[in-house]
Amino acid sequence: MSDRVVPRVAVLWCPHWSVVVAGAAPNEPVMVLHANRVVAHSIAAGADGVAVGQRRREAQARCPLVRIVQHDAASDARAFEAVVQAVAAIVPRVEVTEPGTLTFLARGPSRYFGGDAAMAATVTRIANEAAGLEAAGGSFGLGIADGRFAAGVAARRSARMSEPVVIAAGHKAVADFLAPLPVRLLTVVAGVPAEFVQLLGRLGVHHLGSLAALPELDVAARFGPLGTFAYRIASGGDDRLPGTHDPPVGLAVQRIFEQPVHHSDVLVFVARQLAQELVDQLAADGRVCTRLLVAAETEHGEKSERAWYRSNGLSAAAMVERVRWQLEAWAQHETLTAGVTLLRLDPVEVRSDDGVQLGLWGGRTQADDWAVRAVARMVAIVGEQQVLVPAVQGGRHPREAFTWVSAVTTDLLEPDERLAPKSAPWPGRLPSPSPAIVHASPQAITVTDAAGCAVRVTGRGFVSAPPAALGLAMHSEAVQAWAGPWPVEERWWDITRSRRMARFQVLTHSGRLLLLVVERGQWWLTAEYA
Amino acid sequence: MVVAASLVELAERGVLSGVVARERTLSVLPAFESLLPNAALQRGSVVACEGSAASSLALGLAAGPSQAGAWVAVAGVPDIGLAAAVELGVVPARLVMVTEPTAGFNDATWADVLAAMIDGFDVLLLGPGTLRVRTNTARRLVARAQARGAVIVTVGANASFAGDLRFEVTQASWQGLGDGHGVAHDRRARVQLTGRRVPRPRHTELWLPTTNGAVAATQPAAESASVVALCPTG
Repeated sequence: MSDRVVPRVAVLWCPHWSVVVAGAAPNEPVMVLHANRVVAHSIAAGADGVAVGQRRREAQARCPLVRIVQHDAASDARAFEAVVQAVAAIVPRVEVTEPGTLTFLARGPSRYFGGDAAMAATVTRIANEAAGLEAAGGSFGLGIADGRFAAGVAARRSARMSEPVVIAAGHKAVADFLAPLPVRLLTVVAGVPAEFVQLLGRLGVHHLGSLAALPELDVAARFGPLGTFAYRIASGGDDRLPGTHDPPVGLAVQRIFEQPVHHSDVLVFVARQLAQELVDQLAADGRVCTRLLVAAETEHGEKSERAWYRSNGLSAAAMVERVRWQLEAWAQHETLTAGVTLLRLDPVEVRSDDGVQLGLWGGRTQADDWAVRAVARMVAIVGEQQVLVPAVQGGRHPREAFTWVSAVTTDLLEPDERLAPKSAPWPGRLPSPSPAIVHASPQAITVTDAAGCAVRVTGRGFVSAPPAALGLAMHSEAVQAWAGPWPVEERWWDITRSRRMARFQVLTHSGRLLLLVVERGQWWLTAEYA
Repeated sequence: MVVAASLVELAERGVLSGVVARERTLSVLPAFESLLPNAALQRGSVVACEGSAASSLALGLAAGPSQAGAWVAVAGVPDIGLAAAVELGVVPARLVMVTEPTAGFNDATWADVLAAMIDGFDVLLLGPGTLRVRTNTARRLVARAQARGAVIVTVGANASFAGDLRFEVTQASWQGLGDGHGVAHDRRARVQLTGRRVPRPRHTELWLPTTNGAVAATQPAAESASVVALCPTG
């Protein structure tokens, strides 16, 4: 496998593309959040200590004036289409890895423009113009090297230095370039799981060079396919995962519409079916698509064709998402004159599926992603104080066992912290079952005995007479059964916050079971077992 | 031109996201299986929970999907008891609630919020707060839920969201509470299911809740199964 020719690849990469889309002025601190974590930030925010992966509160603490933008992958993709089109005009076979990153084979364009350096300068200039980046004081990075990983690393360095980075051809040059760099880049650029990289660090392998210096067979024996992959890219070898190959022809799925389609929701719906069909077909052979060509054509022959790449493989949902990005960008950047008649999904690169996909058991699932996105949208609509998630608090009263906290203050996908059971026991807590309705603000009620006098509870916990009727806001109900009082004395050591009260369960004749609290002679309806 | 306009417009309205609803059902807790037509909740359906135990019933119905990995959103029920929800089996890590400010939401805000919920969540619990949603808006939201495969569970009768299925607790009795002594430890509830796809009303008896707060059938299902001899006898 390792003697396979490593293609010469150019990677065009924009740091913090989401911030560019958000339209940050130079020196304006801006950060983009997804699931309450920073995914991108402007240079000014970075200078104040904001970093990718931080929680919102932490980032705000470091940079209080920061403007917050919610992450929107679709608008990122739409905005990126301008860059893709500008580059695709001078370079063939452009692949979009994700909004902000594109990849293309460098050999042909370099020969046309007269060398890697000249080509790199031209492409960078065109991309910067298309994105309007110069005005914002940023720049695309462009890296050219043998292999996608080395080119990606070079592009990151290029973005920092504001000039293209070209690594000489040949295995040795790439290996020398990568050797002194930290293994962390495996995660950042190639998407290797962070746990694996941490493990390497604990084993004393801190640089890509030290990983490449290990015997390949030992790495394979210890870490399996993932280790082989990491070893291969660290040593400047082919970055396509083992088992990657061009698929047999005839795998492409397409739909021809007799009636031209004028609405993208119909196309997305069809794309969903096609994607599922394709993924099922590939999964039956134990394979997964890593590069997908999406093509659409209108009745008048207008075409949109894009290649999408994802090293971990594209799931059906990921395919649909890319089709949607492409269609939206197409409709925005070109004036279409007719309905769409053809939609085709063509897997141009597949590899054997080794299971690096969304978690089936535990981990993060598609449903989680959708929910997180929906929460972000709801927060945008109604404000962060109105969208709540549960957190464990602890207490004797049903209202105190759990509390609601704002969804934006916690990480939705890591609930362990807010839901960890508090170890403190709460003696005097009512046994389960708990009431299904707990009033946020208790309602005042009256409780009377058979003679119509108010029922009192003495300081020693004696009830003056059995309760016989409850007076709720508008009507009264007869008591069928009751139990209590269960006295509670909380914070007796604190004069201002101490409370003495007694709780009762009361079953009315209409079958309602209520939880009452009496405090300083006043009865409250606090919860209902509905 | 027409395409361009409509594509962009749809993209802006956010109509384009969705889920591949391959499995058109959501699993429920075993206690509800005998009651439901396919022993599961049909995705895209609207389920009404009524009667004295409506809240527990709605939480119990949401618990099955929640345990299977679905996210549950609650709207218009600010007083829902979290401890009870957890005891009934709802997973708190996948529970989100939207509360109204004191001024309340208007119809347009409700429409936006509920549309976002439908897009991201599998089960929606809608309480009395959503009664203010207009019938037309509700109809659009239900259509969206059908396309997206979300189940809407209403707590109490909700005229806006007309239910495909209607659960009603017709009889309920709490056990354990005496005259000044004891504590309510469980409730025997007779649940009736009616609805469009249910030709004649179905009934079941549940502990709603049991002593530890969960849901269980009063008779274990195994009793109704016939006994088969495994080896020759006599």
